[in-house]
Amino acid sequence: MKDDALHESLSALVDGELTRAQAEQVMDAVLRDPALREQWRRHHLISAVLSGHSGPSPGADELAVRVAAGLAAEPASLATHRAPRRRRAWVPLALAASLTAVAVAAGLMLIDVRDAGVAPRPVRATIAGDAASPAPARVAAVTAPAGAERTRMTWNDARPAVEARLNGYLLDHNEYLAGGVRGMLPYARVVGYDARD
Amino acid sequence: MADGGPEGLLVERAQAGDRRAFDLLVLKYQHRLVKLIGRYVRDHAEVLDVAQDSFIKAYRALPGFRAESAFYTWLYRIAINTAKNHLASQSRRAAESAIDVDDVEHLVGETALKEMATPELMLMRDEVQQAVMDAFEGLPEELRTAITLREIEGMSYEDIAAAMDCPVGTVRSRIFRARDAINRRLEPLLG
Amino acid sequence: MTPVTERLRRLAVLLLAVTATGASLAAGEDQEARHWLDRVAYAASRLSYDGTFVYRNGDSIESMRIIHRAGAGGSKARLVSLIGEAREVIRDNERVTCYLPGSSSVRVGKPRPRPADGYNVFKPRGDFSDHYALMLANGERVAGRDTRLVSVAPRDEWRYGYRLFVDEETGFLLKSELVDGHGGVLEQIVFTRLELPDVIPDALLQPGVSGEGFTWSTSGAVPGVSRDSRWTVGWLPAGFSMSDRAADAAGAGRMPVEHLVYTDGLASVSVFIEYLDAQGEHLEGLSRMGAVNAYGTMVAGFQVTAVGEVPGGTVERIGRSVARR
Repeated sequence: MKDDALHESLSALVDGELTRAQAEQVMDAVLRDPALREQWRRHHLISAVLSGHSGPSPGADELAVRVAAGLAAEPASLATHRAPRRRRAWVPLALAASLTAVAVAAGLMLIDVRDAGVAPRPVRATIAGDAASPAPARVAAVTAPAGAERTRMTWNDARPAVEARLNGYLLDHNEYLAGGVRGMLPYARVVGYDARD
Repeated sequence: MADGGPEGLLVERAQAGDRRAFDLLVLKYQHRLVKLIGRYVRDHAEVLDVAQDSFIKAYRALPGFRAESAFYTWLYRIAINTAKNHLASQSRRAAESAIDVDDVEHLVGETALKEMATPELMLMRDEVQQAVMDAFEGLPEELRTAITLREIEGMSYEDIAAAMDCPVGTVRSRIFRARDAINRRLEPLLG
Repeated sequence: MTPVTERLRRLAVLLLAVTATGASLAAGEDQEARHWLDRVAYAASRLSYDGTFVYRNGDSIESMRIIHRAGAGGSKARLVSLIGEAREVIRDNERVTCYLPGSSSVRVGKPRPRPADGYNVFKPRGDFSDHYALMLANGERVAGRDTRLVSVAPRDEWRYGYRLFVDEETGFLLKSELVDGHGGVLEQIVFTRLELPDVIPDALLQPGVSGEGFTWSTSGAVPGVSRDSRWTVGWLPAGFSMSDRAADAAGAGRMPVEHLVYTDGLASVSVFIEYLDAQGEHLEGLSRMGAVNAYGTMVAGFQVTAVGEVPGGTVERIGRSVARR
């Protein structure tokens, strides 16, 4: 349980969702503990694959080791020894109203987050560049609609020859979608379909 | 955008001489850097050499890094320069459509640029990548949605909570569980 | 039930109520709704934009980026998936190119001819109101912008409905949902970011993959196809008529596939007729991928397949009515 909470804190740290104080604590733990360093490494590997920033790169994981070895050879004086900078105000990115019971024990930080049953607050509908939106409104949830059949992004016919043929038809069909209302968006089906076998 | 992640903290500590903090930065950026350098340098072993050089150069240049600019962009500039110098020293010209240092500011997602990696590397999806994608696609819907909105859209937990109509604590937990599930799939490969 | 699902359910009831009573809307509102649809078509082709959206089909979710440059010489657009390796489609006046790194393939085709001014107007035909009921309402905020909601409700069970959230300022379609008769959302596109720059740099419209080492294939019409078809489609929902006919190249070793396209102005159904040799595995019956249904059957050695974003019952009935002269 202690471990899980810490791992979850690490996940939140990677996303920049801890307060400055919390981040410092968890960071200290990561810097000390090889297992947490490994978690950190994996989080970023996963992130790189999902966001397409990772090409197949055998050997990239050794890179950190090589760099560390290279740095060990650096003269220590090159790292300027400065007085610790005055802490700037850390912008709390997501102070959840439901944060409760913050406990610090033996250098580890336990964050006990309870869903206090607080109703979701209306927030800005999106990200990036939209600093001042006058009337925040709810964004519709991206959840499974009631009654919609759950299908994966493949035809529900397992035979590869049939599936391949249907996909070809789908590509051709999408060329002809009427109305112009959807513009390029019909191609979203083509792009969204994962052509891996 | 909730990308005000922990780099700031790490850069500070690295500037103060903490090499382990710099190590975490390397772990954070290595994949992107390798992919970037791969646009200039074809041979994969050389790509890693150039990447290693770039990180070491970045470490040395840390004292001169001003916290106001983006660490990421700064690191990329160093990597591009290192790659170009490498090619020059081997009397090779940089590939024609490779990006210029000045373009780094306008890098809006690397998919805008032509891949220069060798065809074999490009076609090959290594085991680790495959495992991540398989695990991702096998996630229950709410976990997959949460991690998609976080990793791809860069949305903050608060915005994801609004989009998914659930409390922030639930978002945090879902993202963690998604990562955990993918991690477990990686265990046999990396463990 | 979450508040959103509740809203959807209430809307579905409303939509059904309109179709059930056959109530016709005040001419003014219908006109205004059509005006908004016009704006959508205009914005899609006449604006330059760079946006990111989340695409849901069934229970799959994807995130994609779309970059579109409008111009006097014709437009160019690029659609890129943002999850995992980049799959992308690039379209200009000359060709449509699909890069699919997963299968190491590139598929090139000719784009469907568009009107010279690039303005593919959604021109509902005269009888559009017979088949769809349009409603206008205030929309929710999407991508930080205010929207109007255009609901398009089918008047019969052979079609799906649409909920279109249109940006008030530009007419851009920020959120679009394909809904079935129960109000269930089959397909959804929601923009999370939209920029409308004056200039789109060339670099953004270049593919992110070089396609080296990929298998290249062509899709699209084969020239010199005889105008007479030996095939007839006996049944279509009211309001559907043929909009295109072509022979599509099917790939190595396969004969061209006859491709008939029918539309009611909003929904489209394609009927494909392909000769299959005796060993070919064929589709018999219904198949489905999220918003798209397909029905296949064999007629005289040919695989007949009806495909479209219409209910399964529709493609089935159409497919069954296909006959050879």
